[in-house]
Amino acid sequence: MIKLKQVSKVYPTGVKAIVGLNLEVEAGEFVFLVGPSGAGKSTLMKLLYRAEQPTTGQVFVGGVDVSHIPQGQLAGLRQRIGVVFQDYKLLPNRSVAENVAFTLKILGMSKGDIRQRVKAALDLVGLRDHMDALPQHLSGGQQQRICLARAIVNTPPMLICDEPTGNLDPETSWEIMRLLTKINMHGTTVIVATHNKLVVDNMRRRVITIDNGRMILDQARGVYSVGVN
Amino acid sequence: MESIKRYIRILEFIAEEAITSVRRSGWMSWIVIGTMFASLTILGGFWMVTDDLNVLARAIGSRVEILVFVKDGSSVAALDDEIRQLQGIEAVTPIPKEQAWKNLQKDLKTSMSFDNLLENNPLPNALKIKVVDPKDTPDIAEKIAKMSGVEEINYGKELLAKIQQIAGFTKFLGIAITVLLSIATMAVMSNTIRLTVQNRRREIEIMQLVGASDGFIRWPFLLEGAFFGLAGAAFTGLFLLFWRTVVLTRLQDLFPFIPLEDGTFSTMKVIGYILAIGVCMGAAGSLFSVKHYLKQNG
Ligand SMILES: Nc1ncnc2c1ncn2[C@@H]1O[C@H](COP(=O)(O)OP(=O)(O)OP(=O)(O)O)[C@@H](O)[C@H]1O
Ligand SMILES: [Mg+2]
Repeated sequence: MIKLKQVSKVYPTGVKAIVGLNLEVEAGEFVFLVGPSGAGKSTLMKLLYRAEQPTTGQVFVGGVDVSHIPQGQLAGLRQRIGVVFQDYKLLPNRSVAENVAFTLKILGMSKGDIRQRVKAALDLVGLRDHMDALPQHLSGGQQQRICLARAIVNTPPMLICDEPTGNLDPETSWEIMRLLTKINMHGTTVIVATHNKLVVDNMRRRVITIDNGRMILDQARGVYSVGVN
Repeated sequence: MESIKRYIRILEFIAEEAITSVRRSGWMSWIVIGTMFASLTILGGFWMVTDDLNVLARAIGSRVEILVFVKDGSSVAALDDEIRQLQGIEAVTPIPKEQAWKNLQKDLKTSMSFDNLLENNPLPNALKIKVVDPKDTPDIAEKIAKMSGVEEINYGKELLAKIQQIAGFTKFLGIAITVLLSIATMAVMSNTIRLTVQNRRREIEIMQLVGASDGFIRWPFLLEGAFFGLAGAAFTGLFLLFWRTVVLTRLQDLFPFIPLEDGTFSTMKVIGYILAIGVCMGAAGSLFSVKHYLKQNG
């Protein structure tokens, strides 16, 4: 599903966010991405949905080198990857339901199907009662869950979550994790960047630890080991 | 079948996005429409003035006649026949010297009797010629001058040349100004819309990240721009109509000798062009500005 070959990313500012990274993730896997703040987790994820391009190396997603994907196929790629952004990226002035519906509308889905799916997705993240609210009137954790609902509403084959529980209480965090596990069991590849030690240690999934843009650990049923040498 | 339905739903979605976007523009939309109105009114106003000048030139031109004086002793009828053979002649009216003499008397408004002088009428027989297209007047006059029996020929040579010069010049000026104003309108439009795009820059970026294609982002903007263009042009149309029907009619009442024909047809034509140009420019202007942002995030 995902294959990174000798990938490096140097930002225009000169910051080396990713250095010579090799990584392979099979379809249907559940992967935690951990590492200290500024390690390069978000950058790595951005390379996958082509919000950033690698300076060197190749990034394969679903068999295609996304760093060389033509402009015309970019939208198609992003439609197949659900993303929970670290900064939510919700459309202001549009209701919660409209935000979630957006990814379905651009696919040309019928209004009835859209309504049904949006409701179901908001049910899953526990925001059914806030359908008509504006995102800016909701809490950080609620906004994060809108973002998750939008990411899963069109059941993409791959889900990328950048700190999906960063603003949630332990109880809600577990609910979200259970949801991600369920989605993963239906065959979706799930990648989660997180600082939540409790969650990582309890789930015992594959854990990839990066620091200073390099992969320093790749455990099959790992634990959170940032800062523990 | 399902793919056609999908396609229609996507078009519907694009239209919805455009409408939402117009609604959200608020006061910004009035600035865009106002800009459009100002530029198009200058353009349309100029066209109308040019049009009026052309009508005026044509009106004056159509009054130009060729006057042919016939040599004493030559056959007026023969010359008349020969002239009628030429292309582009509308009418030939003979003016016998007796008639000319009487006209002269009338013009002099004298009660004195010239009857006894009629024996020695010094005026020549003449032919008054009206041509179909005043442009041909010099050519036709030249041909007639070469015919036998022609004493002298007379037509408003200088006047006609001047009118044609003016008509040619306004035509050239019209094209130049149309091109310049079109570019200026589009630049202003594009810049104003760029501001609305800039306000929504973050929104565009988000839409792209969740899988909206460039078309999805471009089309609503294009429709929005076309709408603003159409709205601005509609105001221009109303203004020009008002100008023509109210202001110019008043002016013509005051100065009846200004031969402005019934301008309704050309007014409608100008308004039609203005609407078309408004729509195209609005669309092109917004396309320009949104393209700039699509490239940045692609
Ligand atoms: N757009 C950018 N331009 C320049 N430098 C950037 C940009 N985005 C990130 N960086 C830098 O790249 C490095 C990696 O950043 P990244 O956001 O990938 O870290 P992270 O692991 O996601 O951190 P966190 O856990 O805080 O989210 C950091 O040093 C950061 O300052
Ligand atoms: Mg990050």
